Amino acid sequence: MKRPSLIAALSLALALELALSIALGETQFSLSQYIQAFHDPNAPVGEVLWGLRAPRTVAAAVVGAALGLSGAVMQGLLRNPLAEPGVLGVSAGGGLGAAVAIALGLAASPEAVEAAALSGALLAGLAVALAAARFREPETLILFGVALSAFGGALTALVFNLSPSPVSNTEILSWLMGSVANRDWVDIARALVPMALGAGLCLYAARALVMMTLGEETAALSGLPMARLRAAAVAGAALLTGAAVALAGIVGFVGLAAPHLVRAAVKGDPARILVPSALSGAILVVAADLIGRVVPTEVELKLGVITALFGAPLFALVAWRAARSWRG
Amino acid sequence: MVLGLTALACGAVRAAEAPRVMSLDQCADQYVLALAPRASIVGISYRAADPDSYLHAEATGLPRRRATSEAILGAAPNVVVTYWGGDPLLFRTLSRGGVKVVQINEATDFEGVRDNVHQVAAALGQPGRGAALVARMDGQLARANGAWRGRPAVYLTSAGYTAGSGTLVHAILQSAGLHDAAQSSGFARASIERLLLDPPMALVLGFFDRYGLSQQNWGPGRQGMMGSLARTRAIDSLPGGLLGCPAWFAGDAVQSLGAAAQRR
Repeated sequence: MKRPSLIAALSLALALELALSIALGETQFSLSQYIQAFHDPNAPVGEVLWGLRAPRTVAAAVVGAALGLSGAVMQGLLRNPLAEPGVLGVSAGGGLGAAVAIALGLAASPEAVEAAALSGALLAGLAVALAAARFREPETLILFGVALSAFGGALTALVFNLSPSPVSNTEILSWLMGSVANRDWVDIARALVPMALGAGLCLYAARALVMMTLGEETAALSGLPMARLRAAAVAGAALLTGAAVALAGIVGFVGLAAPHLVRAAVKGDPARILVPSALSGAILVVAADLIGRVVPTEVELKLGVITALFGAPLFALVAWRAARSWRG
Repeated sequence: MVLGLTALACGAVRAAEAPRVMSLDQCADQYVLALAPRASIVGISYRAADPDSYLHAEATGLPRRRATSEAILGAAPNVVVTYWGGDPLLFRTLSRGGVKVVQINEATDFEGVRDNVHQVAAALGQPGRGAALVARMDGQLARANGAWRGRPAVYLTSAGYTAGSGTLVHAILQSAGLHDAAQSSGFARASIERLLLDPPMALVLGFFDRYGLSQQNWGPGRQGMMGSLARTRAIDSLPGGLLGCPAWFAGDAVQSLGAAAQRR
């Protein structure tokens, strides 16, 4: 499939999924109630569709797109199919920021937890960007990210360890499992600012991804400001991931799986995979959120739990098929 | 017969006047089940009928719902009761939908419990029922007051935690006349080494009705001597249903300790 056709197909699939995600939920409505929701958005049915489901659906799409784009940039930059935003420690930084804020009793103010999560992710992103400017080898950057991620995880565990209240621990755990429930348009708009900046940086750095496929030495001889482009790619991925974590908590696996779902259709230039990856990430997270709402469990399933539960087997299948094609 | 009909009619009027209420967690369930007219309860949590729910028998037949904005707004309550903490974004959504959110605070003494009961009762338009619950609790405290005459005791849960100052358990022990010999404040892991080397005069067990000492794989029961210590030094075992929520039935725990003192 050609890239424009792929983007059109993914966009259409996403649009259908968005409509489905708004139409379906834990409450079932009749056709007349759907019609009423269009005629009177302030009626109870309209409130559920437009006030509750629509913003969370859009939040899921925005988070998925950010993570998918971030994952594609990381995999291209590091030339490693296992790279994802989480591997660089950015998600762990965001999780740590939120955990500290909740443990300090700031959960009553929603903005405080989100600001702390974004700050934690950006601090981790800054550390990775500095490392990216300092080290040329992608392996070194991956190892630095793994160490940062482990350190962030350890500090979060320390917060659990020292937390004075089991209720706080439950709240932290709940936040870390990821959710887009009860997000409103203001929350989304607030997250879109760093996301737009991050996407801009990633698109600016896209030309470096092509050169990276030819190797470090060839890339260095290309005349492109590789150090600057590499730092821009890392900073862009950090902003995207940080804003996603601040909006929805930790939603794992999407950054890893989304690029692989479209890679077979977009061969060659890793820059060409960025937009399809963002779209496939959005499709994944919207689907996960919808599943969490309609599965009739006593407690709503968390977003991060579903992305991992469904994403891992799906990813294994994609990897298996890719391995067969490599052998062929 | 006439009296019964009148009482039924009065109850129906009260229910009609009372705000529609929903509880979001097991602790809030207890307050709502005890304070709200049954007909005004539009939803309780899925854990309301669990064995460790103090009023689990009253939960039968009431609609159980998820604590999600869609489920809550679908039930159209006027008031939602929840234990402290929880998702602030959910509460923001509910407030915007015109639902009053009442949070039960983490009480660390009986004054905090009284405040909780009065606060929820007022929000549900049932100050009389709230006052009756507080009076019941205060009566239990008065009857058990000082029963153990300052005997040192350590609280120990089946998972190996103890409770010091700044906890409702500490207040419960004090009200029964026990001296809380916990070394640290708040809830903390009990030092098994310290318990074995310097066994307390008395142990007050908590949550052992749910999990015996040996059933908690990562608890203190892995130490054989701890099992024997729990059996020989325990003066009372308080069920989890009395301890998991800062409510008026903390008075039942004090009463249980007082009765244990009389049995000696």
